[in-house]
Amino acid sequence: MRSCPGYRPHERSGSCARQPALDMPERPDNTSDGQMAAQFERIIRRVKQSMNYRGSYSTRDILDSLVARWLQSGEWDRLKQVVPEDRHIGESVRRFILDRFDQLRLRGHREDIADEVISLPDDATLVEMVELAEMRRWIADRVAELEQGRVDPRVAIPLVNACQVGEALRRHLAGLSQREIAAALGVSLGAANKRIAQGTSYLIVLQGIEHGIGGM
Amino acid sequence: MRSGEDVLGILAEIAEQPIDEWPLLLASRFPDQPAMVPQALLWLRAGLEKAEDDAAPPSLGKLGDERYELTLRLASGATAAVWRAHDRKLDRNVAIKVFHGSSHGASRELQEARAACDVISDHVVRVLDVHDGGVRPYIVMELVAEHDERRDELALGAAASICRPASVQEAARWVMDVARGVHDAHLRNVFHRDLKPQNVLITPISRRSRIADFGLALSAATDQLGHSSSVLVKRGASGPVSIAGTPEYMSPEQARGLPINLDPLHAEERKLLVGVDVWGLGALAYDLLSGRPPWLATSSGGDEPWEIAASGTSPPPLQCTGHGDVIPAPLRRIVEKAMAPKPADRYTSAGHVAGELEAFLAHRPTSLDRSYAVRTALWCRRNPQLTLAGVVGLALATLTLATYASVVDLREERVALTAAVVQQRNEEDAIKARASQTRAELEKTKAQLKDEVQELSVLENGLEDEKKTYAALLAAKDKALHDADAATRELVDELTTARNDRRTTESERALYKQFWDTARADGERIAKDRDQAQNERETARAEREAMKKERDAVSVERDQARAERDRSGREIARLTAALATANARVAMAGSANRVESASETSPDAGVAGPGPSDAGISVVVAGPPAAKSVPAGSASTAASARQHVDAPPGGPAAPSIPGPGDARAGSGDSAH
Repeated sequence: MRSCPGYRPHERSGSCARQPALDMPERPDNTSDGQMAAQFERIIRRVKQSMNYRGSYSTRDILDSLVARWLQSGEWDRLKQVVPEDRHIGESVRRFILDRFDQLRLRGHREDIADEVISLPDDATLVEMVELAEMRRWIADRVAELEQGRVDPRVAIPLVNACQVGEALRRHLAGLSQREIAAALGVSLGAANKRIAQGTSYLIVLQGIEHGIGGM
Repeated sequence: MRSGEDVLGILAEIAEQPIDEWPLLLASRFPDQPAMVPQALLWLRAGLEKAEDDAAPPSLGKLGDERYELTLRLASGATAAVWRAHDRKLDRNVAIKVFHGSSHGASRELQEARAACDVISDHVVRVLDVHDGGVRPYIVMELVAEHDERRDELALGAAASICRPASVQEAARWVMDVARGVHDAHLRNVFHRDLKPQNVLITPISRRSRIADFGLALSAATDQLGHSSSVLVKRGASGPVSIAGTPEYMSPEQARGLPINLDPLHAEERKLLVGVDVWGLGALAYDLLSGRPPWLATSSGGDEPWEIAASGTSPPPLQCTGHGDVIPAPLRRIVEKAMAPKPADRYTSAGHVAGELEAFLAHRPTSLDRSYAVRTALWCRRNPQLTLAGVVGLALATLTLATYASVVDLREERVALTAAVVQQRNEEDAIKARASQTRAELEKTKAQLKDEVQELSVLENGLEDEKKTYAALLAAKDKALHDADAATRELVDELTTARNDRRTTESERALYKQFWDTARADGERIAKDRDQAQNERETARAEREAMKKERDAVSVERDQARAERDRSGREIARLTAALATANARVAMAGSANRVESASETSPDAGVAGPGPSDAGISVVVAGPPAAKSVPAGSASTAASARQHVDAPPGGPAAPSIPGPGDARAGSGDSAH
């Protein structure tokens, strides 16, 4: 069972399945073409942003990685069962990061760091980071499925050579250049570029379906 | 039902049409698939977004001043894409880094690029221009490319992560060039902080390395290491810190976070920043040599590379290159020193790293090579001609000395030989004189020899005889030896048998000796017993002699007593007659007086024989006079007396010669 990425601060129930995120589009039946185009653009931007490989990390990227790890710890799944007012995401992330730093401190010959205070962005930014982390995890899961040749049946547009698309996407997410991907797959540069483009479009369509666009 | 290729072909056709017509076209082409329309719209828009990114705009007219014409996209990243472009104004090829976002989002990168502009070095990609006024800011940089004469075209450079070094020396040379560039940047107070193979460009023909991408650089021109949104941890002592860099190549202190207010003009803080870049040089060398970055995410523990770096552990030690070549120890030591966990243990400057690598490449000793042997070997390797000349000179000198010594020896030998020749000539003359003398003696000797030959023939004849005799003797000797040998064998056998017999005899003798000792002891004991018995027998014999004497004395006495008895008998007979007469007279006197007088005279009368008889009464009456005649104190005399008394009158006498049994009986009686 897939979980949809996204977070709705106003939602009361803990389940997020099949529910649009805060900045996700409403159902297209009630929107104008311009609004729909804006929704499409947001989906496309979010997916592509999540697929970007960052070689050089800033502190924000470090924080993103910590939030992703916090997400993997299951804390977010637990918090999703709580009403949004009582979630206190920032505090949970802060505690998690401090625990993580303590674990690091116990290894190696690291000098003691006294009086550490985690400085986190506000909850809205944290929510955005959580959404991004969830999106990345979701993308990683879908890419793994593609590598195994599993294509979501809700996607009406057929995906040719899903396994190779999955492999190309995995390498693209790992930061390999298109030349390196082409060499690894044994295909031409154009074919590698095509696989990445098709895979990205597939993920965008699937993300739209997750948010109620074009579902069958 | 359409195939996948058909659907994609239809979508490609629709993508060629204006975007406003897409919904209608999709609805008409997929009338029985209502879900297809929105999905296809998303698909097409996603492709459109991609096309906008990929397409090469003919110029940056929309972005800038139409000075640059973009011709080929070289790379694309999270924040920007790099294009090859043509500078119309100066008619030159350049590289342009176009940021995806607005100038607001790229302001920091542009700020650092401005700082990097200040770096003037042959090993740094120069920043030519910065434009941040339009929708998409961009940085114009020097295009790392060289003209390929064989293909007659401009060959583009590539990142060191793609264009890997062909050898250990090439990797060292690349890092050396980068270190020089970093040192040049440090001299301009610019600190890169993100050294990695992806940020090092290699020229295609000359294969020289250039530093690119000062996106995370810090310079004196920039006031902050990071801004407030990048602050993650605030520490009590050092204040807020930020983490920036590539996780796989971060120095430990970088991964733990650097204070955001570092001032490159401050000595201590500058030292910290230099240490980060020195570590980066080591990490770059580590990757180029081993083919892997120092930090890799662990699959089991799930640690991120920056977490491993921050934990203070050391990266895996360098052993071999990715191709299996052994990394020279001096180079390995240089890398390990540059990547020392503590900044104080690292090289003090990037220029020092470059100098060390230059020394390694030039086969000069580095600061870590302190052995004289290593230094000498490196000098020889560094100066092969001098070394060869020295070796040849040494060989020539040795050869000359050896030749001179040989000439001197030869001269001495020649002089000695001349003297020897003179001496030999003298000796030859003497020999000639001696020879003539000898010839005369020889003639004389020949004559003697004839005589001796005749004698010799005689002797030979004698010798033949002697030989025969000798042969006979030899045969006899052989036979004798054979016999002696046989006899010897027999003797040996006999000797062996005799030895065995002797051993048996010795054992038996030992047994006999033991037996005889026992027997001797028994004999001695028996002899003692015999002597004792002899003594006893002697004693018994003496006693028997004494007894015999006593018996003889008793026999004499018995004879005397017998004679006395006979006389007494006669007296008794006479008295009996008188008594009978008297009895007749006394019978009258009363019986009471007779009985009383008889008991008072002999108390033993009752034992001797009861019964009233005349004989008994007569004995009692005759007793006292007989007892008075025997000597007092002699028991045998008393017994003899009793025998004389008890013997019947007129009976046979006791035997006079006692036998052995009598003797024993006598002795037994005497004992009683």
